[in-house]
Amino acid sequence: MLIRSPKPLHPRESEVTDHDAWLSRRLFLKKGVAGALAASTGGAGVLLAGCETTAVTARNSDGKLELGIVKPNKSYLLPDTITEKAAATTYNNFYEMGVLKSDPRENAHLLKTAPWSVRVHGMVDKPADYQLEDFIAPHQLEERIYRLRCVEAWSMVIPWVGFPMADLIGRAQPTSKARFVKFTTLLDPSMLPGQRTPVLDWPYVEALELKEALHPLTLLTVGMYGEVLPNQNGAPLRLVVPWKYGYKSIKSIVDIEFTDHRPVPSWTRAAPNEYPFYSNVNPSVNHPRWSQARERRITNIPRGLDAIGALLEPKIETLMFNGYPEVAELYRGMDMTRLF
Amino acid sequence: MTLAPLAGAVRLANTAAWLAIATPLALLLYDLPAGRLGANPIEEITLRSGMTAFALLAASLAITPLRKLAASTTSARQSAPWIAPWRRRLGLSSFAYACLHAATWFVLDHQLDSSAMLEDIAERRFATAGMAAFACLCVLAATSSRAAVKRLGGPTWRRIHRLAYAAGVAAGLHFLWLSKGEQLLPWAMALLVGLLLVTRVVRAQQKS
Repeated sequence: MLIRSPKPLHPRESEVTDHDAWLSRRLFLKKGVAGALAASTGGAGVLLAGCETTAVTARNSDGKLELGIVKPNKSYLLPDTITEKAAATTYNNFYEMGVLKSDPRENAHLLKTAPWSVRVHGMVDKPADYQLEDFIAPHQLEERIYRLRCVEAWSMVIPWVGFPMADLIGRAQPTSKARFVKFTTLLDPSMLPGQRTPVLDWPYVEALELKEALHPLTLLTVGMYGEVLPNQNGAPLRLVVPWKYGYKSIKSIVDIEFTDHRPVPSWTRAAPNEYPFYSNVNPSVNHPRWSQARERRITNIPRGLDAIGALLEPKIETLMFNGYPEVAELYRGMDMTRLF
Repeated sequence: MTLAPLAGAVRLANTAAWLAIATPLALLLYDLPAGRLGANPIEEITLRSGMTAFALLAASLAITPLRKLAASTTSARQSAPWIAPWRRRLGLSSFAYACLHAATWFVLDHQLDSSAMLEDIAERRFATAGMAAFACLCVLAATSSRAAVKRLGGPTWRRIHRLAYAAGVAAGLHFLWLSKGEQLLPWAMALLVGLLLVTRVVRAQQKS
């Protein structure tokens, strides 16, 4: 594990923004949002109560990260039923914590997320080693409800808490040479016991084109269901890229590098024909392992008669780009059959 | 032979073995309504039934080498007669779990969509291997009765029942090919089947 000393405490420009100016911007946003909501048809998404308060990120006395009350971004509501938290936190693919879906929940306690440092470097004007709370502090956290589509042909609907990756990119100020962003997960087999077995080439690496990372949908995520991310879901910092298969949404990030050459993600290295660089959700591409035409929507942990009903529940059709067609512009002119 | 003192022990051992075979099914039936199959019960049923079928098939293949091993020690010789029937019992138990496995895949996962199923078998090697293993088990189960042995004649029956090894190899490939990344368990199972196949080949060469 990399050990870095915390940076000395001094306020950054973003932290000393005049409070009134900041508050008026919030009010302006809220009014705009209210208007937009009135005009919308109204999704079935569950909203968190009390959107009046600001998002505050801090460590409590135990060193645990605490989120303030986070405002839902009403541009990202969905008509879909939200997956119950109990399902989203017990059915996970996080091979650093074991290969079974139940392993991450069972091994979650081994991961210590405080202190946590994040390195932003490479082709940027403002490289830095941040403590997590400093990394998050200048950014406005918001809640967004996204579909999550796993390459194994199951999906969930999750209310994430985070901030747009584009905001971080604005802060890091990549140079004109930067074309890709490479993300790396913590490497520490004592906290991530799955790294003791050679399932993949550890540490886990993922990457996006810079223009994909800049897309407003790309979310750097610190929470879900209004709370700090559970360890099994990639605490304390993960990526969420909703139009790509789940493995692109890398968990427990410690390193963000801007580069001019295309990085090779871990799964791409393991099986390039199955997990190519882009890995956009595409129901028409015939995947060598799973048909991607349909998906099993996971909404809860079924019990009793519900469990029988769940067995008979049909799959649903998978949508191009997982139902986020606005990203199509990123790939204009590219061969869609090679894109998945 | 003085089997009388052993008869009770054999009955106990047989009962214990049957209970062990029935346990994965009982657990499935108990865990399903209890919510203990998790958020994706179909996947969990598929996983457990497949693993159990594979383990029972490997156990069935291990019976003959175990008998030979037992026969080589005087004290254990008497236990050989009660081990022998377990080759068929374990094989048929494996077939039963394989039926549950295949039915879960066809009825629950694919919702009887035969074109989707055929696409899987034709285009995805793990499904091809799985279906090959299941086909072998079907032939073995259909020819498992004493009547079938008589009808086919010993030598033909024995040749057909070498398919048990083909089923083991196909099941091993199925498991290896469906596992993502480099996982330990599928390799361990493949190694076990490989060892059983090698002992079978060695035995055949010793006879000839």
